[in-house]
Amino acid sequence: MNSGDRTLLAAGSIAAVLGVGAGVAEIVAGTVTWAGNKNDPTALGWVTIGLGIVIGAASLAATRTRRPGARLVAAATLLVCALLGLTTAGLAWIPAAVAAMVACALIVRRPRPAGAWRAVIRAQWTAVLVVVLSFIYLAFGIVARDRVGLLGIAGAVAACIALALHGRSHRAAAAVVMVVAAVPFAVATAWTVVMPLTAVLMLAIGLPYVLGHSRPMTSTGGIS
Amino acid sequence: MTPSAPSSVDRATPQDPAVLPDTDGADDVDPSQVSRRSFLRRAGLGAATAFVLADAAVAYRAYDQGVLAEERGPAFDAWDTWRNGTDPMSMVGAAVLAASAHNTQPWRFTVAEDRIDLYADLTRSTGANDPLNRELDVSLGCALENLHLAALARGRQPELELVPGGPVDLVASVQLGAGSVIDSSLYRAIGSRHSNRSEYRSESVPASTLASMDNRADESVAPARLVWLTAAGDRQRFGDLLVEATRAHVADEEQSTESFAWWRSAWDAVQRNKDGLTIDGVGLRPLVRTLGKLLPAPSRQSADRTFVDRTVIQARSAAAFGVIVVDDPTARPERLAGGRLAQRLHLWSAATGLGFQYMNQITERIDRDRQLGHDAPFETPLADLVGDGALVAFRVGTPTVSGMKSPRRPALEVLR
Repeated sequence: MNSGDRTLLAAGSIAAVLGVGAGVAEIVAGTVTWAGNKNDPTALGWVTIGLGIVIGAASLAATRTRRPGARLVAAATLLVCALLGLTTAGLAWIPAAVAAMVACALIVRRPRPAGAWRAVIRAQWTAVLVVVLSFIYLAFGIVARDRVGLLGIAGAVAACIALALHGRSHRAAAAVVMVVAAVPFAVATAWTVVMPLTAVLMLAIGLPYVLGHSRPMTSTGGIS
Repeated sequence: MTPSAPSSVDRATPQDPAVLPDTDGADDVDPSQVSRRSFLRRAGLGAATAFVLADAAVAYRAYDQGVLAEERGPAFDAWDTWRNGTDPMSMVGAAVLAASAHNTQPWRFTVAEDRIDLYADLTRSTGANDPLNRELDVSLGCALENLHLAALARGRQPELELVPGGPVDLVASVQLGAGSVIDSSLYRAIGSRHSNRSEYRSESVPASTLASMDNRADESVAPARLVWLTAAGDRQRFGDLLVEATRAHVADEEQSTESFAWWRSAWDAVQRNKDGLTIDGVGLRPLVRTLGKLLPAPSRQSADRTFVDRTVIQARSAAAFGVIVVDDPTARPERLAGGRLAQRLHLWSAATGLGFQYMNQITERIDRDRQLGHDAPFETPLADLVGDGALVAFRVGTPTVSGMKSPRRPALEVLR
């Protein structure tokens, strides 16, 4: 791990600890101004803790890979979590959000040839969409709680695993994992409308992606 | 640059090749084909992005409306804690789960070790819907019944003293003496009693069931008694009267407005106010209920139309209508007794899986017409069906959808 990655990991870890701490504080303090005066501080506190854990995991993942797509997803994850936390824990989330944004910036600012990020975004945009959908699964899994909630959280994790498997050329396995990720939670919460809709999109976007061929790309975005 | 194998990608430096899905086409195609494919790919990604953004927006709305958090949160905590404790305060925790008109919960309590006093909270009146405080008093009677059952279950012998006086005065005192523990089925049903406004199945309620409900009207709630409307013709006439009263209700702007004031569309308002009527309480099937939450909040006029439509369904599907009758429906003690009987019947229904819903549009219109000095077009037809002294009406039947918890202010929030 080079010094840049160590700094990134430190920022991500600080964000994670601060995020988890904000969630715990919200649960303990209840409805208070500095935590956004939430009506249901316990549930939102757990969501906040979940966001902190995701930030930590994303930061760690970013230091473990050189793949531009994976690092881009990690950066997007940090950005989305940093913003989402402001709606769950109010002012208490700001320190965590700042640290997460720093970690996000450390991922993005790595010196790269001109146009590389653009190429990566173009190449990995489908994966980013699937990650967004898996975020919805994760959030609703946390909100749903109990066994049904676990299906949502597991579905979110499985969708990300499917994306990772695709990069390793395990296309059939990736497709199976994607189906397993999407279907159970959607069936268990069919009455919510939004979960079946999310599952349909996850399969419609994710399956062609994970079943598609991978081709090497140069760092400047061109196909060699 | 030489392509690297996918397995080596993870070890590559940022300057090394990455992996790109093969969606741009093959290498050996003419430029126009590439351009077309490129266009189609971008259009597809654009459409996918739009769908995902729309899905995220719907998901946020679902989150904001508590679609996956039904019956949870501070507004519903009272349903989980009402059996905790043995002190008088814990009895108030059971009392606040009583039925009340429009779920206004018009009660306040003072609590001592050997006594609980019940006060009317007139700030929670439904105004033009209850101009003579009939439903407010009945609601207080419901709370008294829960209080009575909770005291018995905690080994205390409750002695009820009704306090005559004006509407803002003390309504009743419950002295708590020593007694034996009576953990009745009615007490155990307190946490599962919910108004069920769904459509009921067509099958009739057995006469033995109705007779069992009749037995709830004992001396302790005299002079309150029960009149059943089970014959098809009687049900039809009462149902028609009910729908007419509902139409008159929505045509009365003041009644409509003050009724709508207790409608809680937003999940945030449910959790903040912990009272009122919610979409969960309407008795809709889960999918329809969710759609109702996702759509924009209804206007008063739209809610009125739904009120009439639902009343038609509810009246048509009632297996039986019940009317609690007293000697003098204007006397508070008799209203309180009627409320106690109503709560007892509702608890009994909950214990036996029978659907139960108050249907007070007719008596609301009778009181409203009296308040305005109008002719009372509903009074005589109702008296023809059930006799004089009608206090509160309800329907029973086998529900098609389970009743759901309504928001509640916990005991600590209803102390005087």
